Amino acid sequence: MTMESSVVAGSEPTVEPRGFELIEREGLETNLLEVSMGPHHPSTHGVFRMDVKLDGETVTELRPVFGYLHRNHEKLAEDMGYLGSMPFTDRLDYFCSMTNNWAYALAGEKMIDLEVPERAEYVRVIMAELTRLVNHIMLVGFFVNDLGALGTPLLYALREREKILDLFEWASGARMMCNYMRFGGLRNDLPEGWLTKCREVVDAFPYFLDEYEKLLVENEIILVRTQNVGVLKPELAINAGITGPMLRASGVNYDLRKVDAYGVYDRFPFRVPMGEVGDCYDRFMVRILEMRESIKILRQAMDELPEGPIMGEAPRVFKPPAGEIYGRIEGPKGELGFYLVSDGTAKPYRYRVRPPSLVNLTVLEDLCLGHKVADAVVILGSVDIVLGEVDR
Amino acid sequence: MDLLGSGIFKGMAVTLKNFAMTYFDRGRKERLPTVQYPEAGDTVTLFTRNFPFLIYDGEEEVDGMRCVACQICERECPPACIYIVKEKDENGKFVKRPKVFDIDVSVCMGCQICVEVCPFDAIVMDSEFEYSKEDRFGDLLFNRDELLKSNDYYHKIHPEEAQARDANLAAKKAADEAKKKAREEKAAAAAAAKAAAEKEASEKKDSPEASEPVAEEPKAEPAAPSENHAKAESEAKEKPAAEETPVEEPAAATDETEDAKEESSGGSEGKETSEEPEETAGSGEDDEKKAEEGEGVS
Amino acid sequence: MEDPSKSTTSEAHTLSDSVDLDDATRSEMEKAGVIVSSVDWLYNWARSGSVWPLQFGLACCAIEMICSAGSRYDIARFGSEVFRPSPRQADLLIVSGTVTKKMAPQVVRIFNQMPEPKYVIAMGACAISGGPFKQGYNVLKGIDRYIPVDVYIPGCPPRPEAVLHSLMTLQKGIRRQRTLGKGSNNPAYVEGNREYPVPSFSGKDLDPPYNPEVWQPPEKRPNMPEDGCP
Repeated sequence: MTMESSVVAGSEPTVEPRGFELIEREGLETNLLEVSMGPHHPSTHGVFRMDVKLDGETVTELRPVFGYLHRNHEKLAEDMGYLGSMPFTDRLDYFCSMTNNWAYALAGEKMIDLEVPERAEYVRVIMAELTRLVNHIMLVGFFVNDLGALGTPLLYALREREKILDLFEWASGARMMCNYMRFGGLRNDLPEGWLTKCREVVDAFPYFLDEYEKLLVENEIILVRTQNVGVLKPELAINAGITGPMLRASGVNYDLRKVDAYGVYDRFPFRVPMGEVGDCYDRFMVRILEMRESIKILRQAMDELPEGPIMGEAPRVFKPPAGEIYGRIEGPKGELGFYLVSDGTAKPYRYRVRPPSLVNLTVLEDLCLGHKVADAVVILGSVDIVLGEVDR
Repeated sequence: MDLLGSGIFKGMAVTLKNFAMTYFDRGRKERLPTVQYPEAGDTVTLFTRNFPFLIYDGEEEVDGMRCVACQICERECPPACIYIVKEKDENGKFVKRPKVFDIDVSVCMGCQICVEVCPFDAIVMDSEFEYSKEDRFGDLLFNRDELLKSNDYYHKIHPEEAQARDANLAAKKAADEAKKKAREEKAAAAAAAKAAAEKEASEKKDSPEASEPVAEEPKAEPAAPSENHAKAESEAKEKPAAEETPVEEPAAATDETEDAKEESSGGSEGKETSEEPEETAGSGEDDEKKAEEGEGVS
Repeated sequence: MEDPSKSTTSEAHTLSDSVDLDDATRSEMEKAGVIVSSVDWLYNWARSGSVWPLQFGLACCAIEMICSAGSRYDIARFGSEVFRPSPRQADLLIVSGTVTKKMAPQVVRIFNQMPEPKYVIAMGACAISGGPFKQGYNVLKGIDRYIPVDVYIPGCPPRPEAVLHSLMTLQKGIRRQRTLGKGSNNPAYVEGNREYPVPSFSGKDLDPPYNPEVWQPPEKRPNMPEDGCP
């Protein structure tokens, strides 16, 4: 699992990550303690297990064990028509069903060179950025929940999430599993009055963010628990294939919305927030700053939303020509990609998801080594995993 | 350098303010007050979907049923939770009505794909969610009579959607009638040609291409009348072209209905997609009915 | 949770039967200033008003479960005050999400660790029957194969209000239970502490495939002939 032996910067008790030997001291003897955290653990964000070897309280080895939520998503999709997989993508990363839909729809559209109408592209951007708000706000809520701030910040986050979920429900019919996008456009147009309501929610969001920052960002306990904890060096991040806010927190400027400019993202000026140190605090702050940029994009997209059709010239029967395609978007957690291989029939021959959560999780051991076991929980929280996506 | 701990106090001030303000601006919407659920449970929006139900028009539940048991939804349902058996009359011919229409809501994921593929607007989504039951097998399998709900009810829960669907249906009906007229005129001329074509086709029956010309004929027809109705056209392009065939030929010869059936299943990308889920579904003990389905349909 | 009226119809009336009033009569009498109660009623009233769930999320439905605990839906209004992280302190296990075959032993173990009286809610399609993933090789086709489930909530995922509705259904069930007297049907007292064997992997599947004490494969439909057309 280890990509390379990492040097933990900033923290005093530096422990050799590998080749650890028992400390022999006069009259004192310590034993390595093996602790299995999970799969039912309140802070593992689902059913995830960490086999941790501890010297006292210091982590000397950490083995992530997953697969407790392996639901055969890919295999089921290969057994089903292309459209039939769309509702299943909702259940990958169940916080961000809209972006999952988009990534899959994008891959399908690439396969048959489908044009998406202008209005649909803008609505997709709006939905994706709302999803980003939902994801990041919930992440921050759970993250400080892991730190021990039980309740209050999470409840504030849930309150804001509910407002956005109401918008999703109004537009698509469901709170979480929206199943809103289709190959070539959207399932249905935005209902009347939706945009006004959305504008209200988006306009009120910065006030909430100000309040939230006041609540959390200067809090000394959060500073002490997160700064210089779990430092991810940019070299390791690039080598391990980390994407999304976690990569940007390490100071690497890589955002698919800028690099790939899928959809109509090239029309929106926005900044890409980046961290300097790459510790938990940076990962936390990058997300808060990203929400502010998302609001900018949302405002502009709502102003420029054109009239027109929402569905392109999609064929009635989706039967792509033989070939392979990789469609990717910048999901809230990182690069979410769908790799589809078609053999010319109505079912994909191979269907593979590139889950950002899983790839980001691979560096967990490198981040945790040398820290206390309580910090491992914090680091896991800052990585931002959703087990539906890790295990699929 | 601030005083150590001032950040915590700032955070505390935020929570205190939030707590205090709940007493002063209760009515403010952005505070998002608690939903008093059982007493005032009106929290669903106009587009909320949970589980599908079947619509009937008019007063009679069974007679007014829009469903014609075309089984497209059964084929397209991603988790394969719909089970349909066609009704037969005393002569053993299929009637355009399901005898059994079961939806296992313990499997249904409310994805709305059945609604999208239904060519007859017969199945739509309900916003009812109070289905907590203590019995799994009895209460969570909705049969046809439980699923049937009136069009008025649909208008009540999803007014805009229902109106759009009604308009769409009316347009389609008008198109059907226009087409019927055209067909009657054509019928005399076409009958002779068709008979000849069928004769030829039956000779070539063992070759797979033979089914092609038969399948294409009804497909070409609906294009002409639907141009008159812009609304119908926009909807119709998503619908399988086969939708007309089961309506138009209720009591046709058995050969023809079989042809139409084959075409409708082939046209909606269904045939291949449907077979596998049913087979695998049959392996679950709770779904032994699905296993029988394979024999029942063919 | 059977209907107690069915089990105690004999002429031998116990104390608890003699004051077995329906809610309407009871509230009618309370208006008149008469408070009639039985130990059972009082006990069930107290129990049903303080069902503490276990903080145990499996998949998507867990998020809706958290939402129902959030301030908007506020499950605390129904007495489910806190989500306890430890099974030893919880009364209610909400199986919220897909139970895979890898996770099933842990769920059963958690159920075994809970103290009596304990209740189980199967939340969402996946927990009831495997749901949309039931065709998968790694998904358990319903948690009721291993542990007794009291209330099922269909939906994928169910709305938070549906979770509240299920809690009310469960509370109604608890109020129907009998602890004292002849017709006692409270499994906590009839059967003692219910602990079920934890399944394990053997070869290619879970062993045993289901717990015969709590689940049997359903009968074939009686009116279903061979061709599938009843």
